[in-house]
Amino acid sequence: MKKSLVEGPISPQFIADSIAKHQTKTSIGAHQIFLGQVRADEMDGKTVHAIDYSAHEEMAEQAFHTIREATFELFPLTCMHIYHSTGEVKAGEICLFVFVSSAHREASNKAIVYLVEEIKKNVPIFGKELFEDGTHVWKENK
Amino acid sequence: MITVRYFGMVAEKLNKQEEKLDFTEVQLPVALIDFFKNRYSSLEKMSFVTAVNHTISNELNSLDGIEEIVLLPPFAGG
Repeated sequence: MKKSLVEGPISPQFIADSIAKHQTKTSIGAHQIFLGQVRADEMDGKTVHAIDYSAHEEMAEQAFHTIREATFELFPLTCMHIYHSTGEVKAGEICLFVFVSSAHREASNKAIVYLVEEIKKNVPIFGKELFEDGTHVWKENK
Repeated sequence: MITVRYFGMVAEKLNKQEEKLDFTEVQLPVALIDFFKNRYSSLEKMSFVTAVNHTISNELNSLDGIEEIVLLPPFAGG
């Protein structure tokens, strides 16, 4: 099973390298990429400076696997990559990288929307939003 | 004994991430969310789901082959 959880933020270089690796796959005509970035939300006059992500790792990897299989069933994709951070990710850094490729644009356009929604709903990942003063709140997907 | 693991906000409220619980005296089937809310008053107003052997389920029907129960607060990935 492909692993999706990675420790720490996802670097722009990792994303660039991932794009570069697809240049040999010439049956692909369309890529779609979604990048989730940690937002410096303001709450009660305090600003989020990072999110500390934790997960039930076995269940999360299984959920990513199930979502990946379902997405391949629904859309004619050539390939798909999903990475999500665990541990601390600072505001402005990337915590989710979803990358789908297909022969034509329609499949990758639709698949990326479906994938991100499924990930947010079904993967047991938890996020502690950390403030500069050492306090925190728990994030909850709506 | 069954390993019970707590995550995120639930682990923080209980101040522990894991414990072993004996369910042999518990009358089955049992609704796990109610069971844990009764056991720990600090969870009473919290939102969480339970999973049995990595499958999300609120019901524990039998102890056969049950190795792990987990309490998962609202998801926040992405």
